[in-house]
Amino acid sequence: MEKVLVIYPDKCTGCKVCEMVCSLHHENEINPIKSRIQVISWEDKGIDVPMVCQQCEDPPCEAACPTHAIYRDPQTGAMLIKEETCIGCRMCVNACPFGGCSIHPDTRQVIKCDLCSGEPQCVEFCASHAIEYIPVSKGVLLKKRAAAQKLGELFQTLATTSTPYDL
Amino acid sequence: MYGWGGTILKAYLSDRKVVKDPLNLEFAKAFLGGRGFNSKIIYDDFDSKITDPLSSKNIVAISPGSLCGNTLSASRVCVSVARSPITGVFGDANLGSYFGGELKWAGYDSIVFYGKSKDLVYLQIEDDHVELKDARHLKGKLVSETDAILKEEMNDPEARVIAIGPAGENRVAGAIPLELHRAAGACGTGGVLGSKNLKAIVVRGTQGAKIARPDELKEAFKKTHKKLLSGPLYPLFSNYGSPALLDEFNREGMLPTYNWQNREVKNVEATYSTALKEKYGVKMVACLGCAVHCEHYYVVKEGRYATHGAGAEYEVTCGFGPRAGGVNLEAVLYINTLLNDLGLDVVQVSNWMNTLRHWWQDGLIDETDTDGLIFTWGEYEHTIEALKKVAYREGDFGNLLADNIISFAHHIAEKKSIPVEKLIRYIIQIKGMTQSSGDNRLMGIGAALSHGTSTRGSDHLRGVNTDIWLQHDKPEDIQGIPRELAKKFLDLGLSDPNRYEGKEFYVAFMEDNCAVIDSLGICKRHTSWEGMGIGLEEMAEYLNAVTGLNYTWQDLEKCGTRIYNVERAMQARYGLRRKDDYPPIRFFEEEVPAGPMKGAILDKKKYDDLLARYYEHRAWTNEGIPTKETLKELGLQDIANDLRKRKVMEVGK
Repeated sequence: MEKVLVIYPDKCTGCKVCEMVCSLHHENEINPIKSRIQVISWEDKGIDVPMVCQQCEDPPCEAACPTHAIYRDPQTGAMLIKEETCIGCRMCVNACPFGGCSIHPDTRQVIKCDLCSGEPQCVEFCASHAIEYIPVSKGVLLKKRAAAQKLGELFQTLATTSTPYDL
Repeated sequence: MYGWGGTILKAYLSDRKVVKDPLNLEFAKAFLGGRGFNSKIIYDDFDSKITDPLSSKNIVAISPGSLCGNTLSASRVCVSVARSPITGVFGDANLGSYFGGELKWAGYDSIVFYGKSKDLVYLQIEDDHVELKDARHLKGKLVSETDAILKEEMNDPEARVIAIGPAGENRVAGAIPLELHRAAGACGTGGVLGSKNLKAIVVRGTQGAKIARPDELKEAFKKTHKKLLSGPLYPLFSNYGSPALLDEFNREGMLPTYNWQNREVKNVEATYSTALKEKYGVKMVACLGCAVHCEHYYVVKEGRYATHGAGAEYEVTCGFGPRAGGVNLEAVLYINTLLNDLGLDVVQVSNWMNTLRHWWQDGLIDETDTDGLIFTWGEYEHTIEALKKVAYREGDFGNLLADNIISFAHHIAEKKSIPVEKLIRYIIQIKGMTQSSGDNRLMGIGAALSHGTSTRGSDHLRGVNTDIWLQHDKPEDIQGIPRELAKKFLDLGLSDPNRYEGKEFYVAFMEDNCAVIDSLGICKRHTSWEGMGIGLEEMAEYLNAVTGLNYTWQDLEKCGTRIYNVERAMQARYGLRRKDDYPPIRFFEEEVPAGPMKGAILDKKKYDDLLARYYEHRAWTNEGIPTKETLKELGLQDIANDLRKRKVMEVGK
């Protein structure tokens, strides 16, 4: 059964273990800028939102790619990049509303989440269960995504109006 | 070079110049990184005849642990000073957070600051680009303001900043650098940075960490992650953080209330970690690569103490809670945020405030000594005022107390014609460093010895935190200690926390173990120090996978012994001796008055004997100084020669 990544920003501790194990898995090194997932944090406000490809049903990256280098893996449902076809034009980076595509700093080609061929490392090592890999129907998938997005927005507005103290 | 970044930065502040030195691999292998690097660099580079901690000749070394940015569980960077404003001798402090990993990803293993800048500056690091920049616009800025401004100026929200606040700029003895709410607590390194006119360091690193044996590291990650999460204490720390200790200690009669008078505090449950989580906790947050996520992000929504922030460790909930005779958790959280922003050390200044309360209780000080402020138990408004006065050195009181509680005791003694010993007796401190919220009568004899012999002054983080981690029948139940050693400790009868005999072995091992932990940058809360599963074996697996070297756990232990001996030699060179290795005198003379631990006290004769056996086991002199043979065996011939040249060796033979 097809599975998807579901993100819960309210559980994310901001520890970036996902970035570390992602880059180790894909690049054999530890380097957040080569990770396929990034945690965007506002530490002073207690907000941490993991950002990763949502493997959309109707992917804007695929539509934007002029060389048809982006395709769906029939096994996992992940959108993958044909490295030999990718020209590094960054159209997909611009098109993605989730920041799911990024540029590899060395090869200058596009990198994105490939669901680790069905065993996502970020999920395996997320101690607070802020990322889950679960089977869902299309409808539930869309719902989950909307809910996750709302949670992200909620946490962004959580920053309290109180001043920390008077000096 | 794998594991290490390969470059040491030397910042000469007087010349506004930064030099890049290649890291020597043999040095790296022997001293590991972090604290190990700092201690040896400072031993070698500092002229110990300089006595003023605020002299431009003092040295600050800031080094990430060698596993920072390479592995999980490792985030810590060590900040060391040749002379601490609190103890007057060598001191250091560790900071978790994200700065250490970022510095490693930029390619650096250490930054050493020499001299003093003419105007306020900050160090900016963007991978290869390193520059000392004008910071005059940051003068007086709070830690959080400095953080925001420097990220903005770099146009990079992912950059990492450690900064001093107004307290550091004003050279307050209890000042420290922080990355937002994560503090390099202890030893007052912030005042030294302030005296050098260094406001902050901002770093962005995108080079990443190359791994020598990636497949081995992946396996090690899997194994260790599982071990950590299945540890018996994981649920407690990951849900409630260190404030959970307060609940536990209170139930067991181990809470140091009223400045270690240990009387009952009414309604103490209001300061429990359960109250913190339920009423003010938003979620748990973590340092880089950490599965334990032991910090609360908290919000006090409304009222006098409306605030928000993160951290709120046991040290603040106890230090400004029951140890201050108070139970207002909202005020405690407000103070936590305030101190983080002013750049003050929660442990040190809570101790200062509670000493004042204790003096006040016994009629030794009054409003004429405190610029009109009142120091009664459980009072918060005047405390908040006092903390601000200290940070900004306002008035006579603020200015004098900012120099340290011991010098303040001297001032009061002179002013009121009181023998100074009488006042100093109230201050729970060792080697001048005031103690965190543990009680040497109650945490086990190993913990008492470990606090006493610590190379940076009173410290629960230098070796044994509490002996209860050995309270098991079977060696396999002892977390984070190699099985054969755990067996040895149990065979010696060390499962009894109150036993003196044999504790020298446990303490020496844990001191070396902690020296390794601090040098690799591992969080102590993941290790045997806190009854958790990461031990020298796991650390060796990580280090070997990352560097491609082949350390055994015994090799690592020896590195720890080496680092500890460098520090002991350094402190001996400054004049520290056996007399400086004792817990506070009150713990030998005042019994715990009530509760489940009623009557607990340290035995002077037994401690004397234990200390002698500890020195013997360490192969030090009876004054606690490393011998020539010991140093030579650890590859520290240069230090042996130095001590002989300075005639330190002959003392106490």
